[in-house]
Amino acid sequence: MNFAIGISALRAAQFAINTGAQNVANANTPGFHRQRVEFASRAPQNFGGSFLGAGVDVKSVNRMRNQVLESSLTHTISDLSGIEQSLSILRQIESQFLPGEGSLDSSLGRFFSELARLSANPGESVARNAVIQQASTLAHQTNSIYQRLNGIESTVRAELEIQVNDLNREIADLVELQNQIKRVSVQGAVPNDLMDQRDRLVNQISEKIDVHRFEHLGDGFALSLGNSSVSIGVIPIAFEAYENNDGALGVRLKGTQREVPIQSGRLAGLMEAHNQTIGGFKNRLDSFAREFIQQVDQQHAQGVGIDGGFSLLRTTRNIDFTDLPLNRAGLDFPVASGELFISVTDPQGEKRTYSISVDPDVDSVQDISDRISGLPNLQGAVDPVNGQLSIIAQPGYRFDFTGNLETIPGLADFSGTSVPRLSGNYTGSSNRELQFTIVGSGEVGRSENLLLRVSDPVAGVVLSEINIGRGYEAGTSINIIEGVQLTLSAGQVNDSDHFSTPLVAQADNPRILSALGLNSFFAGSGAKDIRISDQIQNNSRSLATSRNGDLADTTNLLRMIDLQDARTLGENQRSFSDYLDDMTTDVGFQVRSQQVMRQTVSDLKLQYEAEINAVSGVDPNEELININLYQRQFEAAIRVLQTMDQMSAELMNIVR
Amino acid sequence: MFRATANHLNAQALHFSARFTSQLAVHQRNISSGIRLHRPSDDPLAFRQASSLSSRLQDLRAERFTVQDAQTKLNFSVSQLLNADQILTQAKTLTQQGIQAFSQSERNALAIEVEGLLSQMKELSQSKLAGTYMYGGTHSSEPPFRFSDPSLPGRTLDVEYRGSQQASRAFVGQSVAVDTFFPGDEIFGGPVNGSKQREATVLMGQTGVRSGSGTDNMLGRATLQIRHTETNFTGGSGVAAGTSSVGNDTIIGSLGRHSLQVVDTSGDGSAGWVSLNGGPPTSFDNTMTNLQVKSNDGQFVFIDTTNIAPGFDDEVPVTANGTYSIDGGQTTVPIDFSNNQAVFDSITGRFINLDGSNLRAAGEEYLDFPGTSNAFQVLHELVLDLRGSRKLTNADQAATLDRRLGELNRISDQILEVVGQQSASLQTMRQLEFQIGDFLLSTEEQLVAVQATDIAETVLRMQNDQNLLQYTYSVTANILSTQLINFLR
Repeated sequence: MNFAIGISALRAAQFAINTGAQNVANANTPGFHRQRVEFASRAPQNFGGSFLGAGVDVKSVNRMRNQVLESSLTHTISDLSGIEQSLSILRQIESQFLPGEGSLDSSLGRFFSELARLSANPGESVARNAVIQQASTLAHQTNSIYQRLNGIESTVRAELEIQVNDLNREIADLVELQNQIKRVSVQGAVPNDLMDQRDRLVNQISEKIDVHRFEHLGDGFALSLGNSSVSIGVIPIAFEAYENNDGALGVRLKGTQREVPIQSGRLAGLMEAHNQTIGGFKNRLDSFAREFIQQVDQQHAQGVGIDGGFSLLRTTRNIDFTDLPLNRAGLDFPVASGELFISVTDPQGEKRTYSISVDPDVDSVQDISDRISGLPNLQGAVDPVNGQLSIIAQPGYRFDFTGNLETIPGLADFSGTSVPRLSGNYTGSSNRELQFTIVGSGEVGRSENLLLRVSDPVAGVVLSEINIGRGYEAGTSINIIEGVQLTLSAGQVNDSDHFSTPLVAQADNPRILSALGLNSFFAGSGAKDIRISDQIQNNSRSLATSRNGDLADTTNLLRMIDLQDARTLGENQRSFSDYLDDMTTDVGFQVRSQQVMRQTVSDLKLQYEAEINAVSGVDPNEELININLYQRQFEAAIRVLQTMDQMSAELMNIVR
Repeated sequence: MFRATANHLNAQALHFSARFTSQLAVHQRNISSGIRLHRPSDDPLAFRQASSLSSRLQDLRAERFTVQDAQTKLNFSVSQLLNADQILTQAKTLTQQGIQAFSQSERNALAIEVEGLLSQMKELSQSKLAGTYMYGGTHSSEPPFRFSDPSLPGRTLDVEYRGSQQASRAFVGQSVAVDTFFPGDEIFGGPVNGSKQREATVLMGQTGVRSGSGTDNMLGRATLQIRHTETNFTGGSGVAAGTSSVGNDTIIGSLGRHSLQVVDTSGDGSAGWVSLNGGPPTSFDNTMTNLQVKSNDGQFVFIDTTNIAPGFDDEVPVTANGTYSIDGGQTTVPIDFSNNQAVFDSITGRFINLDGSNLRAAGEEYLDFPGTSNAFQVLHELVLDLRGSRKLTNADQAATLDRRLGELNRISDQILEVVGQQSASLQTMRQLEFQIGDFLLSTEEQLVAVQATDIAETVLRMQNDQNLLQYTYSVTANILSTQLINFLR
């Protein structure tokens, strides 16, 4: 009788019951794979030519797993983690653009509404202050959002460093675990639980970085990270976060310049958020602010407040180099080639309009200052310390950039006693020059065949010939062209005498006023530093609603209101409001898209987990059934042993 | 066969429980707040639409404000201008009464009434609404008109318009702007309109001067003084200007305009008779150095007859020179007897053109420049005319009052034209306000439709999600309660 058979059965059943118990105990342990005991019949022994089995052995305890599914799950975990990271940051960005009364878009709309309201009562200080207050709110909101995006960016930078440190620790743990597995394996054992831990750790790592695992028969295991650029061996590797010269975040092997291209996981999400998403929205907000500042300032600069022109103006924007050409002078806004018109009003209220040419490739701020000094009754000066350009009028004189019609044109080539005067507002859309030539000699309003020829000297076209002799009432207005009127006082005029005057639709084609910050509404040049200029903040009368200084003149205000519909922003030439809407809608779409992706990937993960669970998960009922089975086996083995024992006793009785 | 474990069942229960609970939270938020768009990601396209509608609402509210404000101003202005027209109507009635009046005292009483109307008109022109002058155009910070006494007696009121020629404009949306503060110069009449409405200059007097061929630019009214400076006698008659001739002869004329017939009846130049322009003969002798000789029409010259040629009997052509002055004698210009001589007013720098070819006598001419006076000046001129400040003939006075009537009609038409324009603007404003009101309502409705929660739909969705959550709990509880352990005893 071979007791060994029964004992082997007893032991096998006990082993199997223990394995089942282990399964039940770890039914809810994350990463645990159920284990199955593999039995094998012992090799038979020869008993007189017959082979008889020698019992049962526990051949192995196997983890129930599907390698392909688990690899897919690891990828999915990495994708999901990256998506959730991106989504979390996007939702923070989205929070900056929440709708409602306090939104940027709403403040922008209210700014233009206040301008429209002001047009009804341009002299009311309450209405003027309301515009300034609303602009201040808009500037503050723009600035706050920009700063908060900066804050999110800083948080992301810090979070990246934390995540990289965690990753380094997990890699170190993994390497240690792998070494343990190897040591155990060398002893011929199968360290299922250690391998479970390793799988769990791999999935944890995949939450941070894309992971590619290689498993071979036996215990072959390898792991590569960051688009397979780095492999983990027996020595732990470490990463570090860094910021390049452009301010972009990256991850590289610690102590080297080797950048790791990370495709998914939380690190990828953080880097993408920092380098593209947040930066992109900051850039867009800044573009909005820059364009808004420049457009409003440009229009504002070409008007005057209700106190009229200026006796002194200083630039308020940054000028790094006053002696270099404007396009290299470090100005906040670009300057184009063109002409800047400056009107000078004398103490008697008579106005002359002059122009200076501006070529940003050649002219420096000092050159512009010199040209201004070359104009009658004006002086330009550049402060060598702070680079500020000042324009100063002679005492009693004032200047502005309205480009208004001059009241009395230059009369160097006009010898008669009659004095021409211009009035009205030029309503044309482009700058031009008019030349007036006397045809015939005689007395205005009295002589026969006395004409005034109006021509465009640039186009070489005669526009009209107007009777100024008998039939014309000296001193009364003659409509010339597009809102321009001329009067000739009584007196003598001589044949071929002539004078010309500029008609200015755009006083600052080079846009140098906003670039330098002359008579600006805003200070600063972008989202980070936008604010109301001190001059406007301190004195609402300086708000340039007018083009002639009259209390109720709204011509410049109406031009500022027109900016609401101006389409100047971005490649698609969007209005300010549309641009903000685009930005807000984009963040909404991005959040929405990430939400959908999260849902999809999350469902995929659930599916993978379900399928893995179908293979590796512990079903307590199943385990109980198996335990019941092995319990029976155990009981049967005991019965076998008892039977053998009784048989042995019977034999012993015979012997006795 | 798919092997489902308790863990799998549990994971599914958690997954779907979380999903439905999350959806229920969204429904709860949407129903409680009444709004379904809380973040751009709730519905990016709808969010954009809502944002656009909100902006439009803000714009419409601002437009409604400016339209209502413009209406207030237009209403006020129309009311003031109708009052102004009422004043002019009363002035016209008083003018008619002046034309028909029998006595100067009656006209004086009418003048006092017109003075009252002038004061009212002045007050109207300086109307203010909320501290801002209505009729100064864009220059509305100070009184648009400044009135001062006439620069010379008999001239019209001195009125300086200090406002601007441009109306203030308020934005009412869609690149449309309406006038809010109006140029008073245009409304109450003035030089700007004068050039368009100037009529032929009227000269009232007996000097024979006429309007020249040039275009005058003096305004209102003026007095032309024609003064004698020198009389010359041609030929060999021996007659010379008398000692009182300069400044006292009343004749003015180029050579030959006037003639003096000299007849020496003594044959030695010691006595005879003279006749001016065929008038009655006046006897002379050779002792007279300042003999006054009158013509039939009352003109006279002073002559010296001490050197009459013996036996002279002939017509002697006379040249009588003089000066023009349009500024009360402050400046004078010698008369050249041309048909288009300019005479300048040293006070205003303006001038008139005179035809002196038929000039025959010194004296004063009263000049009217119809179509160049504003409402205040016309009323002031009416006061002067009713008071008879100029020595006009009855016919001239009647004609003058008749012209004033025409001027009042012109100003009244002008004001009514502006009233008509403003009333039309008011009508447009009212329609615009209605339109804006409709747009506001429609935009608000659209905004509600876009961003408000559809309660019925949301409740149904919520009920559905709630049911699913309950099913999840129920089915999970049922499945998990069936355990083998319950059967192993």
